[in-house]
This record gives sequence, C-alpha cells and structure tokens, in this order.
Amino acid sequence: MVKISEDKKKIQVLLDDLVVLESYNKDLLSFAPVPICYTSPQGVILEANPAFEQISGRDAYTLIGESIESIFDKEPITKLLEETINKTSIKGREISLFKKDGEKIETSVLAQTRKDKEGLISGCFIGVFDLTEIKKTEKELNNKIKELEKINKLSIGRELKMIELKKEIKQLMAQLAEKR
Amino acid sequence: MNKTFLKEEAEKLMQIKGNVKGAVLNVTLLYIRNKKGEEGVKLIEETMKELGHSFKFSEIQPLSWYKEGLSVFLILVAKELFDWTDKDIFDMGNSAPKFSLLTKILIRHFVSLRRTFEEANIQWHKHFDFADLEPVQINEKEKYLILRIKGYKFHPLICSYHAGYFLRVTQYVAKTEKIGVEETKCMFKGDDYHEYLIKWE
Repeated sequence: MVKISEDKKKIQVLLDDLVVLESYNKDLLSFAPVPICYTSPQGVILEANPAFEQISGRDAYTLIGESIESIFDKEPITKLLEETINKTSIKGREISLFKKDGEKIETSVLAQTRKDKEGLISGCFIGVFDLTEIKKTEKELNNKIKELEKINKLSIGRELKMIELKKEIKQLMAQLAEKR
Repeated sequence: MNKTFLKEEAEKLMQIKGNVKGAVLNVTLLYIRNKKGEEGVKLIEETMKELGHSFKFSEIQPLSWYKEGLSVFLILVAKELFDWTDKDIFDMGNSAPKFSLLTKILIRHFVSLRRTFEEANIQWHKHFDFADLEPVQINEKEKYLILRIKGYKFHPLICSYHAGYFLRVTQYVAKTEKIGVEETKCMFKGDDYHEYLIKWE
C-alpha cells in the first residue's frame, strides 16, 4: 500500500515536471525572433512559433494542420523537404513565402530533420529568415552600381573625346604653322 | 438552454466509468476561447457551476485524470449554450490535436501513416484509461483505413468529435488535400462498436 502511494507520488512529480518542461519549450519558442515551425515528414505543420505566425500572416489555429506547401512556393519547398530527409539538414535555400493576403516575401530557409529513438524521421524543423530588407538593399546597391557604371562610361567617353580633340587641335596647329 | 435536460444528461454521464486526461479538457477550452473569446469561457464556467459541476479551466492539469463524463458534459453544455451544430462539434474534434499537449508527446509516432495507424490504441490510452481504439484495416493503395472504438458509449455528440479528431490525425500523415471521414457503425444505432472509415485521394 505504501509502495503504491510512493509510486503515485513519483509519477505525479514526473508529470508535473513534464508540464513545466512543455511550458518552458513554449516560452522559448515564443521568445525566439526567428520564425520556426515543425512539420510531419509529409510536410504538415504541427507547431509554429509567434514569429512564424507573423511572417506567414496566419495564426497558429490556421497554420497547424496546413501543408507547408501552401505557405511557400510549392516546388522548391517540396524539393527542400525531400532533400532534408535525405541529407538531414539544408541551410540557406532561398524560397518565396506567401502571406495569407498573397504578399510575396523572399526568405532564406533552413531545415533539419528530427529522429525518434529508433532513428526514424519523425518530423522536420524549418527556420526562416526574412530577406526583404537584404533584397531591398541589394537592389539599391545594384542600381547604384549601374548608375556608377553609366557615369564611368560617360566619363571615359568624355576623356576619349578630349584626347581626340587635343589631337585635332595639335594637327590644326601644325597645319597653321606650315601655312605661315 | 434547457437546464433540466442538461442536469439529467449530467447525471447519466457522470455515472459512466472512465477517465480522460486534462489535456483534452484544455483543448475544449481553447476551442471555446477561439470561437467565443474569454466571455465564452466565463459563461461556460458559470453555467457549469449553476448545473452543479463547478470547475475552473485554469486549474486543469493536462496530465491528470478527469471523468470522461465531465469532458463530454462540457462539450454538451457548450453546444447548448452557443447553439452549436454537429458540424461545430466535428470542427472541435478536428481542432483538438492541433493544441493538445498529448499530441505533442505523441508526435514521435507520426512517422508514417502506417505507423500512426498501427499505434492508434497506444495513442488512445494516452488519452483515456478505458475502452480501445482498434486499427482494423489500412489499404494505402486504395487509400482508406478503418478504425473501431470499442467500449465507449457516452453521448452520440462525441461521434462527430471523434470523427473530426481521427480525420485531423490522418491529415497529419497522409499527403493529400482530399480526405473524408464517415462513421459507418455506431453504438447508438445498435452496433457493438463505433467504426470510422477514412478515405483520401
């Protein structure tokens, strides 16, 4: 009788610890500024943190149970999942994400499989980096480079013209000297 | 809302033996909160108190055992209070695995459709201390599976809830957009068990 009571107490302590651990996991995921989700091996979203809710424009209620293919550009994300399952992890793949309202966001995706104790793949972690600002800066830089190239081309053209004109003046001066 | 009817139903339900994990009650709360907000949750708690089954959602421990009768009664009260249909109850069951702590613990079993199917009863007993969920048949070529619940007879309302729940778990592991569930046998229609046929394309 005492033994059963002690076992029950131990089980209750373990159950309480499990609830605390779950709460800790939840808080950690909520704190993470990086959008993270967890999918089944088939690509169904099973968990998503608030940052993922924000970037996708969907709440967890809508996201969980959705296919990852309905959030990202279908073909590349399917390929990414397949490759992740074969290679365990993939880093820095650029894939477009579509918000609920249809807005397209350029992202860099990293994925890693999760295995059970028998080594079978039980799911996939997916992390997302928003490339919007980087792409914007990249575009601005490219425009600047193009502008500079244009100016450079014009400058070089002007320089060449000047050399040509100098030559012409020299020739004219020589001709004038001969006539004198 | 017919309080006399609900009191009678509660009396019947509380007499049936069987326990469920608090996590199931918690996801019912989340569904109510999502559909009706904090006011809805408050209303449910007040109504439950009026009907003589007072409890606070915030005090529910997800891994402790509670009477299944209480869990079923809670759903019944929500249905009556918010004028929900069977479709809403199906939706409630369908949403349940999304936020259940138990589902998170069981995620490791969602390796494949076959494994999820074969371990159905293990999953069932993580939720309930009674009855069985028997994986009867799976045919991945013809794309269907059959599940049976034996020894569970609380309220016909829960048939829709379970249908929604099984559909969601299958959706987690079957790569398809076209999927449906049908209760083909029911203890409330004179059958010996509840049977669910899930088909996908």
